[in-house]
Amino acid sequence: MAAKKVTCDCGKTMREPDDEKLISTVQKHAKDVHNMTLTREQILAMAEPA
Amino acid sequence: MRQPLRVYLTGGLRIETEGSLVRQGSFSFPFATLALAYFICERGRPIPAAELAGILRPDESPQAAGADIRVITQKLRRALGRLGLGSDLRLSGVDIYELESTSDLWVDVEAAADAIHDAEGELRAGRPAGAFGPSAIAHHIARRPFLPGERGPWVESQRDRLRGILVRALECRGEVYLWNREMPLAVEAAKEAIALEPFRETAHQTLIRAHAALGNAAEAKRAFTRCRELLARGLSMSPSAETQRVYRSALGIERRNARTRRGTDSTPTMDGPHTGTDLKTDLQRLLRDSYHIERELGGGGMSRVFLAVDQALGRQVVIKTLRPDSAASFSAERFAREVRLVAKLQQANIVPLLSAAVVGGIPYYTMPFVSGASLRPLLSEGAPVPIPRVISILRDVARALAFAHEHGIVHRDIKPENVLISGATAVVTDFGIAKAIERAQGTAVETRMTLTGAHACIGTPAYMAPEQIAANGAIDHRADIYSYGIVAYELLTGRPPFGDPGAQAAFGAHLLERPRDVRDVRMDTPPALADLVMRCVEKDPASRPQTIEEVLAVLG
Repeated sequence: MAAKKVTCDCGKTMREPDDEKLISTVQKHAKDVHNMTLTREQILAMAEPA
Repeated sequence: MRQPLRVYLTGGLRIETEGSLVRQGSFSFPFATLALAYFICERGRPIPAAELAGILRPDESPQAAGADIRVITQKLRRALGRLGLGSDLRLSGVDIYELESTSDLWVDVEAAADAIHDAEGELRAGRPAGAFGPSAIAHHIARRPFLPGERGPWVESQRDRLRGILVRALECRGEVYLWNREMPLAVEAAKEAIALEPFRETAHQTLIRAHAALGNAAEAKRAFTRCRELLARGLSMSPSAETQRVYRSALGIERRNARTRRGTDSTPTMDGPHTGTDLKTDLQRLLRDSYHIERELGGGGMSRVFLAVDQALGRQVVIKTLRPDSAASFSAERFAREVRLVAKLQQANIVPLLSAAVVGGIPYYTMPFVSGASLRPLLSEGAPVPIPRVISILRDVARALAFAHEHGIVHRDIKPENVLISGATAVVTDFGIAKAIERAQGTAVETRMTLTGAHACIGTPAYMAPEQIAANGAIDHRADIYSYGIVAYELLTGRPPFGDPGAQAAFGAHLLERPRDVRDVRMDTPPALADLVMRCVEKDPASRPQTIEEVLAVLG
């Protein structure tokens, strides 16, 4: 597994060592900060190498 | 569940399978990365060596590039094998190549295009929350550079396409953040969209709204002033009526205007377009007892439409007139001449012209009131239109066009709103009126249309032929065939081939983007019908059916 990251529009960058951790972290951020829902597939589509 | 093979062409080549990296970065031998990217984007289609040579070595003759192509493809096959992808991506052929994907394949640029369609669809359907995820995908992918380090016309066309997606994604992000009350993020998204496309008025509108919602009237005013300056400097135009309305509404100027009109407030107000009440009242006064105007039905960029009763005959008619600002440079004599031509169109699938006149400087014409709805509500229902119904509607519209073209009249604004459903029959309205108005104004209105988006419309951006956008004066009946193809595509798939972007993005898409094959979107489309639709939406008029009779021959 390769480490990946997603940078939110609000400036927060989330890096995790594998896809599953990244999905969990990004979903939590989207819910807690923006009150929005993101699917697993949507997060994987956005992710890029860390 | 097995995950798809993921291919990223933005931010550098990257291939992943089951979450693991298979390849990151370009291949070491020249042109292999570009060749793989092209094969992936065109997978399942046989590609002649000459076509590939034009992509990889555009500066060389196909003969000179031929040997290189064979070496590149051989090396690429070996590289895919070494990466363990030989069974997932099979590259076959010698002089005609084809990449076959035996695995479920996900490609980032295709995902971005799908995502922006989804995001815009969610916004149109009034579901901003549903647009959050898709617009984020489109934004994340489209902002990354496509195949950095590679060159050539195909690479440049893909970059242009992604740039268009990026602007649309930013616009969607802006709207979502406005709805979600995250105004600073809406401001950022709108500013980025404006930086990419300074004349995109919808982005300016988002910026004005966001500043106003933050309670920062000074910034909202600055945003409006900046919009006005950009348009004046670049296009010699003023902000559209919609942008002015947004500005007034955002700052509560409308409410103050109302108070001013009632004499309870002396706050100075900005100039605005004529109100609907003014024109309706003026027109009724000028028409005296001939027609009684009941209500306004709507209107387009240049026109206003009213439902009225013909008092002599006691029947309902539609009165269409020019907006006052469009009527300023109007020639009544030319209008009458053009309208006389249009009046000759008497055919079962054409809504006829009943009368036309100019009263008090306001040109108007009347048509029968067709009580059925246009195609738009049918398309808005969301359910696929059954294929036999699609063919029946398309056949009716083609018959109307055939009759008009035979009489030398080009419609110029074929779109769902101009196709009315009356019982089991489709009828086309507004025939030739666009041309009549244009000639009567004596100006190249379409040129203004190209520059100003939906401000002064002849033609509708989502349905305009490339040559209509270019406004090169060489428009003929084949422009109608293109718009007809776009309507047919939408009837089959539920949306136009390039979605419903802003005017500027629509122009770019018509000129540059290749629509997805209609069969990829609606699989049960009969092949002959799908081929017909795709031919109708060819960019080059010479590649379309040359007459609408050819279209009718296919529809039977």
